[in-house]
Amino acid sequence: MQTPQTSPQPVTVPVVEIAGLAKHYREGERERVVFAGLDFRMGAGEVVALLGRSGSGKSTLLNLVAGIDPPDAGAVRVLGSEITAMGEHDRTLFRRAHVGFVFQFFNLVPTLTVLENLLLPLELQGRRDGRGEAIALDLLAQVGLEDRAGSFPERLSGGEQQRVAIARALVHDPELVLADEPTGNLDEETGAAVLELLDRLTRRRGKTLLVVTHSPEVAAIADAVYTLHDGRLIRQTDETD
Amino acid sequence: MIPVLWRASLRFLWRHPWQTGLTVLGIALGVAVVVAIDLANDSARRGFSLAAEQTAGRATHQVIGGPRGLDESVYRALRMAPGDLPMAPVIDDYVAPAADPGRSLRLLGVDPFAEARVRDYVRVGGGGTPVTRLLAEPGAVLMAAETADSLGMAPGDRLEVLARGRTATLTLAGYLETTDPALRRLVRGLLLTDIASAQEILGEQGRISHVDLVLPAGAAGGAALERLRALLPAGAALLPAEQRSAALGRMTEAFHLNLSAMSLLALLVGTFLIYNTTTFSVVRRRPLLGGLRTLGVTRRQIFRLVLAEAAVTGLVGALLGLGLGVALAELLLRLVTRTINDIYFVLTVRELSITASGLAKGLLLGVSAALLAALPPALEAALAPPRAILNRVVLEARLHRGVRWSAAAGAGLALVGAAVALVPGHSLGLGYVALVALVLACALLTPKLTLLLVAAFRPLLAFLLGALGNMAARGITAHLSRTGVAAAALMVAVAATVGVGTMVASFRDTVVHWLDESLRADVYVAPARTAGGAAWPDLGRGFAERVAGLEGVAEVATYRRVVVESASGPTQLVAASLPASERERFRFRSGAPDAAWAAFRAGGAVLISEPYAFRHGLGVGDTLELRGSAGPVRLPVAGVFHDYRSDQGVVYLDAGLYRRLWNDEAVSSLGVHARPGADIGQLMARIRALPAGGLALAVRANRELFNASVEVFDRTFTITTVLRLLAVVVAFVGVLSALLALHLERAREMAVLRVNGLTPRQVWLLVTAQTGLMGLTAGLLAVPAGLLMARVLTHVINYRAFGWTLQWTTDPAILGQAVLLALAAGLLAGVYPAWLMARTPPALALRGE
Repeated sequence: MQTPQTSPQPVTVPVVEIAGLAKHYREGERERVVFAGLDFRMGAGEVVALLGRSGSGKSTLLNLVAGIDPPDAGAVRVLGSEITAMGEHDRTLFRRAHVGFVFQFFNLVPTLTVLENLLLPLELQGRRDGRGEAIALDLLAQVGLEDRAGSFPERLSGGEQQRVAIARALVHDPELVLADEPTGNLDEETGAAVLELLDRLTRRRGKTLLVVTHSPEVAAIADAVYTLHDGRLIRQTDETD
Repeated sequence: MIPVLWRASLRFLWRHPWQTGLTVLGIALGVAVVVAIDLANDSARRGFSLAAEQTAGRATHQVIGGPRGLDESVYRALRMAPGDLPMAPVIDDYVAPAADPGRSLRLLGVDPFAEARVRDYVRVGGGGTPVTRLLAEPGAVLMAAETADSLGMAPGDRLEVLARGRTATLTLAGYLETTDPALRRLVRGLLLTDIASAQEILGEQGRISHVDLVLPAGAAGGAALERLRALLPAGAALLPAEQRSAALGRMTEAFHLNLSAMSLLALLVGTFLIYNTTTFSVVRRRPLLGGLRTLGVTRRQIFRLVLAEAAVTGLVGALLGLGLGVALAELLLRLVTRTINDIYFVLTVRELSITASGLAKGLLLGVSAALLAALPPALEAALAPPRAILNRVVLEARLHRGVRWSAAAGAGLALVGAAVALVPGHSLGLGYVALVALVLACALLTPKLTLLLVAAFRPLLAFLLGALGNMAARGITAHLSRTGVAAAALMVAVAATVGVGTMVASFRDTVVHWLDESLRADVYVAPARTAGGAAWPDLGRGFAERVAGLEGVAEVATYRRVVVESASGPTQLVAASLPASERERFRFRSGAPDAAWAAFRAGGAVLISEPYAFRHGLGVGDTLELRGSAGPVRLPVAGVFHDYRSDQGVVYLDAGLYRRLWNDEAVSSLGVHARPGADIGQLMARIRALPAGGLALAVRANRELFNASVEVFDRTFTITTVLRLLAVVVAFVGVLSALLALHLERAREMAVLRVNGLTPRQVWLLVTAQTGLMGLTAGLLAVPAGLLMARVLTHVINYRAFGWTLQWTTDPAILGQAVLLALAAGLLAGVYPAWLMARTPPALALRGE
């Protein structure tokens, strides 16, 4: 475990709590340890940026927090629930209820319209009433795409698609939002706009945001910045920024 | 199902019209073949039961006699029995219009007074023509107006017919008219006449075919049976009416079953195509499915989603298949009835009977096949962890590792299939289990063998096309998640055509070789027969002797062909007087030839054909029980010989023994051996010039009979050829569908290559080289797989269905055709994607879907 150089901000209820986490991959005959004995905590409403070189294990850590990749050892608790102790089905239901996801390549469903993409998380929760649509349209308005509700994703630019993806990540009101390189596939200007939107919407709603990034601009909006290096999680202080 | 997910799925199908359309077409063709065969079989069976009903009426029992039926005194004796039981004598045979000898009409001679209590024909009358009028006019017949129209006749007109080799004249006394649709169907194609007229027309004075009886149920019926049996002479028997029609019906069961199985082969090919398409659609949507899983879509929901898509495709395909199937059934029904007429008995089926159950079965099969085929990819999509679904590289790496396991599983399944095929016994079901196991085994081995073949072809492609050739070959191995399944689907589709083609070729070669060996005589003489005619007319022993005395004749073989009753139904008996040269043609499957002939000529033993031995479970040393004119006779079996004349089999016995046991001196046909150097044409003319007691003779030279026999064989296999062609079409659609989908998906990759300097022409080359190589690989793998299928079809399934041992023939034309089919389909499949990729601006393709 890499003890942060300075103690984290005081938090009362950790939204994400990682203890003794270990993960390795087999590459041919060799075994590559991504990390071993990793500890980490995130408080409610916190925005944390996770930096690191390509292949350092940032996305792996995000996947482990989301429960879409099982660890080799250790525990991941999200909102007090140990998701590493859950079965696949329960993890899926937990994710559905409490986690929102923003991908680098948007991952919108190409055969659904923008509005239908937003309705998907709500329908998965069994919310098929008219209120769901009102919430989705309201969010679309907040991301500035209310006039594109009936369009299919292929008709949208990259920036617009990512704005839809952010709206989709928040539409079902999850406590935790995970973002994997949300601006990695966008130009600088569009990236900045998307970033501003992500920051604004999550903070306004008091969500906890863990964002994996290469971008210093993304790190700049975070309450805390960690770097994953050689399997160690190092918190950057303001002085080291 | 979440409505929004469902919408996403339906739109996915709609947005890939080529892929969806070809899958729908694949399943539609598969279902169409199954439905068509099913309807044709059902209609033929219905036609058969209708024919049985034509004679049986309300009869519960029949009194039957020997090869020439019963003496009419038997009926008179039964009539005198106490109890006044309903009974009616019948003469039943087929005649042909002299102007159209190929057409058979059923002639039913009845006693109009006795009829009413057994059959309903006398009620039919109508048009002011009472059935009793038949009594007054010799040769008067009644027939349905529809039948009369087809013969161009009106009441009072005369019709020349060929009946048992002789010409007779019938007069149309009136129409059989009825408003009852069931009766109307019954009287179609029927010529109803008085029993005395029928005897005259058929030259069977004093004889009847059988007597129909309506016996009460229960103890009273049992007592009546006892009383009636006591009145019967030796050689006659009183049997339940359905026993005889059931025995006749069983004759065609293996034929119907094999047609159904062949049609299922087309569906199996269709199923592989659905498997390919569904796997492909899952593989191509891995990132999307991974994304959905991350958003909280459960495994079960993903599983249902994939299955629901397959069910929709299957349902649309099956519905389309029903329509196609009904249209196809019209054609197949003609082929099925023609084959039954050629091989078994006269069957006239005028209309296709479309049953709700037949259509429902087709629908269910289509949807089930689609669901079954989608099950593995649905499980794969549902069980993969979300991260792995997102990662394409992980998938390809896992597949490359899995290829070894798939090959090992294929080898294991092949051993299981071979073991099941070798299980002794008559179970046709086990034969088909072995066939399916071997097909699946070949499919599992395909990815590994594809890798090996592509590696072998790579240097040649690199030599011909340079870097492009290398890229084309590498593209197949690098995208094994798509190419492996496609290659397996193509291989199965093409192998099915090789399997069926080789089986038919082996069968044909066996029959041709056998005909060549068995037709030893130079000239064959027989009375001109009507198709389906109940008895072979008698040439007369005097006629045989006159032929033997003709100039240029060395020796004459005589044959008497009759159908006699055995414990297990009708048995075709050939009483032969064979010169030594004729005996040489027999090839024994079991029994020592010398000992068998010695026993045969000594007049005590019979020789039975292979199918007869197979059907009746008899072998050398066993005893065969037949009904002789003086009661049951028990004859030892001295040998089992190869014979491909009839799948019902035939029993040979010495002519002298037959005459003693059946009291029948008649001769049905002759095999005339000419002296060396004799002019066959002149000899035939001399035979034709001999007086034959008014019989019309068919005098045919060896080659003529040979050619006619081969023609009949080819005709009976027309339906198999049609089914094979349909399998080829399904295979072609499959090849096209798999490769088209594969390459349309790679538009983005090609756009990258275009950006990097590949010209549109080079894109053409690359795409067609790859699809061509895949087609060629699948075609080459289909050859051994198809030959394996053919082995099972020829040596296991055919033997278990018909009891024939067939020689093995590998026709290079069939194998070459299969490879060419796959290659051509491969090249053709490359045309559209290559055209599309070459003309799409790379920037557009780079934007993604």
